[in-house]
Amino acid sequence: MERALTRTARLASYLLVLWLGATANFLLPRLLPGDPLEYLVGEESSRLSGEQRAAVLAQFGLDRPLLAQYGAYWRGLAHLDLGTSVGYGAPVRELVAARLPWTLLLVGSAIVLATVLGFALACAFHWLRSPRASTGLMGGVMVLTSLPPFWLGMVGIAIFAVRLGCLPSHGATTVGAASGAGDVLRHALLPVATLTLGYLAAPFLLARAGLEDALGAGYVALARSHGAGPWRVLLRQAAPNAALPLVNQLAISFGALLGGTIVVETVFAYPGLGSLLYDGILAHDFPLVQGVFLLLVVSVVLANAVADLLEAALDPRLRRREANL
Amino acid sequence: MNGASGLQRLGVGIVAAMLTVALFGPLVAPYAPGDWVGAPFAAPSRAHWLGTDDMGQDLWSAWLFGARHSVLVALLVALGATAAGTLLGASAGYLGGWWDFVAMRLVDFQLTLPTLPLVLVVAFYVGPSRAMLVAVLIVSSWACCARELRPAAAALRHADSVVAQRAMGAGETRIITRHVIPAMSPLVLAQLARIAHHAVLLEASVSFLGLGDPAWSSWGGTLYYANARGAFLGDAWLWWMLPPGLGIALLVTGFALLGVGEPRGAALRAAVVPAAPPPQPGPRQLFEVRDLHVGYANAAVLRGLDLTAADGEVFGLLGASGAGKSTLAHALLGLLPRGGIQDARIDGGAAWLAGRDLLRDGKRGHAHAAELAWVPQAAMQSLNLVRRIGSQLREVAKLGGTVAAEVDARVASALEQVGLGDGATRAYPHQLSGGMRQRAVIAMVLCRQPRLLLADEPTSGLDAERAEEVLSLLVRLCRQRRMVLVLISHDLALLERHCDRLAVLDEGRIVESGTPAALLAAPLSEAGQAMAAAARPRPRFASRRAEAAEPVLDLTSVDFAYPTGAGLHDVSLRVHAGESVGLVGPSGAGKTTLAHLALGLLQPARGGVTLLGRGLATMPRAELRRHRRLAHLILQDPFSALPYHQTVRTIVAEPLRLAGVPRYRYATAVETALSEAGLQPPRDYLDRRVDSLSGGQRQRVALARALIAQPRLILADEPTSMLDAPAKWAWLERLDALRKDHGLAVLLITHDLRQANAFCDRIVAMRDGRLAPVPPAGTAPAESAWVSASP
Repeated sequence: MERALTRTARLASYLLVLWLGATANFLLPRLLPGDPLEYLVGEESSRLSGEQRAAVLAQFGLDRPLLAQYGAYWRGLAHLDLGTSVGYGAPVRELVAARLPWTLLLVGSAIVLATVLGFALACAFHWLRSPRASTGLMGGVMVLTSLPPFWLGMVGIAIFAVRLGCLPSHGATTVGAASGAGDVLRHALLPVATLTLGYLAAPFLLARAGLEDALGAGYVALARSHGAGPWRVLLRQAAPNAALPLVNQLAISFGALLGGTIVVETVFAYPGLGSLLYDGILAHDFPLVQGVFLLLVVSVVLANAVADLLEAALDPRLRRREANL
Repeated sequence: MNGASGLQRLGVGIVAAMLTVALFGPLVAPYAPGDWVGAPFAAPSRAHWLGTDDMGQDLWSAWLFGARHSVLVALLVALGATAAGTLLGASAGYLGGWWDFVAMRLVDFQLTLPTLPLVLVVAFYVGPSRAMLVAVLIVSSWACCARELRPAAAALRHADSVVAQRAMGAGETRIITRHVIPAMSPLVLAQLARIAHHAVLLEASVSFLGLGDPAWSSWGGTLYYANARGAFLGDAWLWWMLPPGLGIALLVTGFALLGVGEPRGAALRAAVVPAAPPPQPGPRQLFEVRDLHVGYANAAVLRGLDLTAADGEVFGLLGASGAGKSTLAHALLGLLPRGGIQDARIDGGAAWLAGRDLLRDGKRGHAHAAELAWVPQAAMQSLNLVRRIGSQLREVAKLGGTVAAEVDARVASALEQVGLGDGATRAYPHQLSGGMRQRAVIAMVLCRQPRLLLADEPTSGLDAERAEEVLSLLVRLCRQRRMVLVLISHDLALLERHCDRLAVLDEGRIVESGTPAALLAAPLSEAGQAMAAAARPRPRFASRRAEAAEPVLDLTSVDFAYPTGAGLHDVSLRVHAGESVGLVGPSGAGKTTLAHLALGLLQPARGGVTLLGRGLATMPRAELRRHRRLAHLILQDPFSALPYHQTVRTIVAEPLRLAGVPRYRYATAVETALSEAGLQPPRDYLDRRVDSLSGGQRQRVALARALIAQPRLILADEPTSMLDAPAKWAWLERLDALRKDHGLAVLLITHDLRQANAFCDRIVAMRDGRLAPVPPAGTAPAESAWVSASP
């Protein structure tokens, strides 16, 4: 009962996040001191004549009362209309749609790799015989993940692209060449590796703690007494229990990784959402920033909701269908 | 920082070093960070230790100023966010109710906002400034801290140690400042380190994107210029890019290691067996242990243990806690822990089952498995919660060598034999009751064909009827299958009815063995005598009924209801000065609720509670707290009722502190109370923390804390249920002696009728929140569901 209430409240809080994110997006340029036109059309706004100003205001609907504007804004969102980018002169929706797959490629690969690698390292941590080796592994992972991702990226470029010349330094594909899967992979390699290393700590620490709890639990001792070997104990008994909290972690990592793509995509000039947001910020391209930020909020909320559903589906204690015996 | 691991100490060192650099670095920096002082792209030299950038600025000076900026931002953010998160999380958990709900929704909300984009967008609107950056980082970091601390605070609210404080008459403010906050401080420190770690990285990212405060030289800013101005092109990247990056990494590592707990590899492998050959040639009996020595890192536990058992025999192994019973089971099963603080080793000896050496044969586990099976202590908690019962049983059947085609049939027959239906195969453990789970664990044994079954306290946690059922089931199965059954327990009363032969284990050796009847009648060893004394029906404690003494506690027609519906209905109870009253009843009868009502910790819906002649209902709060000190509550679990962060001296003196007794009188009073409670000599205990004490010793500390308050009434809520049999009676004898010496009244709450009969002048029984008729004295445990088996 209490759990159901919490879950409903959680869903409500997701909707609240979406609503607040969208509303803040709407209100900020209108309420902040200064000329809203500056945010909307950029620097040239001061050079506009009175008539031009009025025309632009009317074009963006800024001459109407605030509430009417708010209604129009939501109507636009309902039609996935995110406005028009000032800098690119193209609809934000199209810009975002073109960039989204690249970011998903980076974030998706990095999440899967970091989780798998983190889990494997956590298994290795418990596998190691001497406490000194475990401590060494732990310290090593902590140092590795403490390297700032953008800096790792820069060092990667300096070594692999500039010195050795074996990997491309920027972009998602080679310009002017037919882009095959191999080309895309070669371009994605450094950014994905950078992101993965940067986000390895969370799954590693979580899986390590989860495995530690699980391996100390009664069912592991019981299974061993029945003759289960170390591999079977690790994979069949401990891992399913230790993996549960990782699912929730995935959602949180997703938000952090989306943030991480901003710096990593900037370093590698990778054409994803992060660099789009960054370009928008530098160019004071307000509709673009608005649109991308809204999309980021929506995707993080979605990831959280999916993680909640997944967790409920994976943890038998949270399933409600089956009655108690 | 108590028990800091090596990694944590390293973290402390790194952070301390970086703090020093941040404080003094800029004072010794050779140049101001923005001055053009050399040739562009100069390589490191005497004048410029890290060379210069494209503008001819000194990079070493920039690094030193950058360190100050990073450390300052990290500390400000960590302090601000931890303060906010702790306040919110702790208050939500401790206070509960609507505030908890609102605060946690706020946390959910905050956690779904993507941090870095948020910081960038705000920077975009407000313009870059360090104050803004710190503010935004605080706003986006507190939520995780609040979420982590809330469960700890919620657990503390209902923790026994906090209930004990309340029962002693401590106010909430005092409880929060002296108990809740100290108990949570290690968690808060870990959060502080974690937030600082993220703040360093986030600040560096923002500065790297060129959105940092241009007024301050920062590591991220240096990297921004390096990236934007082509540091890749020459060798300049070596001195331009590497130092700031390593600075960030070092600081982040320092904070990250601070927040790491004790890393500990789990016991995936069996303990080391000495390479020396087994001591003697083969055994004569089916099961034999000869001269077994097992030790942990700092102590020998088994010192030359010998055992034999024949086919179809039910053999009982008796021992107080700490005698080495579980160590023996773990050694035979290859489950001794390896590595870390609990590194076990087998120092010598041998064990054979059906002619096979259990300690040396084959690879880990597999050799034992075919012949040897185990029902662990707390068996009902030994099932994997995320797998179905059927899948767990099938796994065991396969491990036992059952052919694939017969696995399902075997599982079904095993479940049937323990009285579980076929439906149980599809169930998850949480869908079964405790007794059913216990039987599922026994069914696992039946999925294989073992020759020996080790059952370690197989009935702990079960009530008397269930315990009897489980024991009979085990004995029947073993007789049918001609297995050896080894029952391990501390309770002679429990074993004597089922075993053919008993052995007493004390300090790692078998000190005597024989038939149960002989052991009960004429025990030879000291340990055997203690066991037998604990199991024999007790002579009544000499009664000294205080005739016509005034009542110290008087409950009249009390009604009380919990939101769930359970509670008390029309309960009346009177305890006179100097009298000991037993309150018996099964769990859930409302006994503990009654004790809390008696102290005014709960208010009755109807009826009145009078403590020492004064009604509690109309008493103002502060006065109620003072009045409450005339009675003292001793709680069931000595492991949770005493705070872990204080020494025995502080714990025992707490009632004096609450009563405002001058400090110089503590020392003598504490020593007197400790020795009266039976902790001799008291000086040995004063400066210890409770985690170094046994359960029996802890409960004596609780008794000393009760005595020092000089109460008129002691409410003891199942005070001995966590102690093993000999310790139990010793504790009760101590309490009875003190009762007589000090003329105390005692209300002993227990589910053990035998104990109440022996100890109390008078018995009151409860069931389902109402008074109930008292079962006749001498009711045997098996005939009464009231008396549960000792855990």
